[in-house]
Amino acid sequence: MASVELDGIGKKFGDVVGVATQSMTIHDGEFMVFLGPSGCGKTTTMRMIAGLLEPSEGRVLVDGEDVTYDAPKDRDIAMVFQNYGLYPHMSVGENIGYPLKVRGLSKADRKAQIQDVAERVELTQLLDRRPSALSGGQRQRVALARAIVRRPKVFLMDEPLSNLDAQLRVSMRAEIKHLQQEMGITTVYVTHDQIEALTLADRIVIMQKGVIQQLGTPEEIYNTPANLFVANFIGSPSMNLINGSLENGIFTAPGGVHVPLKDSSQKNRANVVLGIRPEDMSVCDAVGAMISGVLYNSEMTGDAVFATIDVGEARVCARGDRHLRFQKAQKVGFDLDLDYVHLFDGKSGARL
Amino acid sequence: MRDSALKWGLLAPAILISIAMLFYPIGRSFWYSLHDWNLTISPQLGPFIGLDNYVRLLTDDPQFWHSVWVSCVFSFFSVFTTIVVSMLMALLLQGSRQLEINVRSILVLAFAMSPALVGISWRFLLAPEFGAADAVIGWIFPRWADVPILADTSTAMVALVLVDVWHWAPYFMLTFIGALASLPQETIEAGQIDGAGRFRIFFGIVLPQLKGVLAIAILLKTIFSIKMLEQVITMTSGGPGSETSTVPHKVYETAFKFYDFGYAAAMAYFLAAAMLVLAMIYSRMLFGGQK
Repeated sequence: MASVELDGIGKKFGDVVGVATQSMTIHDGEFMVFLGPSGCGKTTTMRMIAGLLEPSEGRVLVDGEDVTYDAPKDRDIAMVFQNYGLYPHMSVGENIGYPLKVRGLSKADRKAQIQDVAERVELTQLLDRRPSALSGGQRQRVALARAIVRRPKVFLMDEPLSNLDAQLRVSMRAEIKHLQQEMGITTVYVTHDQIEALTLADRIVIMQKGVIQQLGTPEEIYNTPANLFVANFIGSPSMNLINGSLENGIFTAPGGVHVPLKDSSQKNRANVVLGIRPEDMSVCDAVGAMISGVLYNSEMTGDAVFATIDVGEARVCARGDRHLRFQKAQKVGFDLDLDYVHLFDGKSGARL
Repeated sequence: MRDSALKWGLLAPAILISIAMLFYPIGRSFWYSLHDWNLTISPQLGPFIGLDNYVRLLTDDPQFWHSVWVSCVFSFFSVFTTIVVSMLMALLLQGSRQLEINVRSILVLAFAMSPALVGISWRFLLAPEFGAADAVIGWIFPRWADVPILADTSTAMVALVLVDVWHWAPYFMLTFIGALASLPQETIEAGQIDGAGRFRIFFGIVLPQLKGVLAIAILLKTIFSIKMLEQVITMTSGGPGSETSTVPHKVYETAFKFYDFGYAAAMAYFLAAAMLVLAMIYSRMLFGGQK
């Protein structure tokens, strides 16, 4: 159990900035998720915590102790890799027991601990098999078992579920969350899957092009995105973004968009982006609606109907009741739940 | 029917060439091995003596068995040293892309040279009167300054082995660099995270994963070592005495120095039998589908 502190850490690959200088603290026992598109620097940051990559600047502290230049083996961390990183020439039991063997534990002690962990992840029947004889989900469990067997200070997971099929991903997700809470080990988890991030995390770091976009709880990230990138990245289908202007507390945009804001203290601005999630709108009569336009497409997803309309040059999607049906080229109106309207600066993308 | 004619028609050139260049000489030399035929006596094939040549070989030729021993010693040390040295070089070079590209091309020059040329070059380099390598060795190890390296019983074999290593190590280094690069990097990183040091990672995680490549490399090098002939001829001529006279050299000597063709053919067949076993193991490892 430990906290992890990144103090002004950054990584350059030649002239290319992999991770821009940044600082953050991961609290003791916290489940922290690094989220972002590929190439955003999330894995690079994790590898610097692991010690597999030396930072170009800054410090890594585990429990207040500077480990920036320590070898991975001296940091007491465990890691689960995307492709599991299992030793193909060892049995499942030997794989799990390897960290203990390296630490010089006796065979009997190892056996007891391997058995203990194997029970936890339901692998007891498979201890004598080779990794090549296991399914993807089983391999991932072996990797997990190998990581938790020595109760490390910090747990690192690099997209551990990305090679599993969708159904298995959901159940392994629950398993990981359960294990982490039970053991209370500080965890850093890298993913590009927002659902994984939102469901697992105590806090999420969203990164893009090596720069942290927002750090916050899943609720904060979802409900008050710090900028356009976060707003657009989180949520499925993603948030509607409409370019317009703000005058006297009223947002207007081409196509007859007319939204009287709840917070009328906002300054007048010519270049503003209004963001609204599909589920924060209701489908209504076109006449008198805040947003109205011609139906572009409607999709029935079972529990809801998503209606998309053309408004000016924007395309806006709203989540409606699952019994709603539309006609081709029908005029449709949306009303906005004004509690969940987000405003962003059109130029910088920052939240207003 | 036409299909089968086409099939054989297409195969025919290859089969004919194989028969003319491979099976006929092999069969013919076996026929010679059953005769007492010495070119110094007659250019005509001598009398048929059945398996007498083989009996003589197995029961009454200590010199031949000495050459078998020499071949074993040479093969063991050249295989072992080549594999270790080439693995060390591969480990050294795989870390740096730049170094790998530059050094690789220089080292591969050694491998690209013909074995006879390698032998002749080293014979000059090691010549006691004017050899550059001989001078350097004498300078580093004054004890050996006056030793004629290729003519001394204690150093001729060492020289032969080391030159063979020099010749072959780059080739196996390339093999190992390839094998190392294809290892899943994650297993090595997992080892680092799990707490293993460098040596532990190499012996506990890297080497076991290279087992297949290593086995094939050892087998191949054994085959190459057993049949090595050119350097013996060009460097030591089997000497001093017969200290470095390997089986292939013995065959060569018997056939082309003493012109005892029948007996040399029998020797060659003995060697071929040993090689055949190794070749079969090799092809089984490559194509047998076993790990």
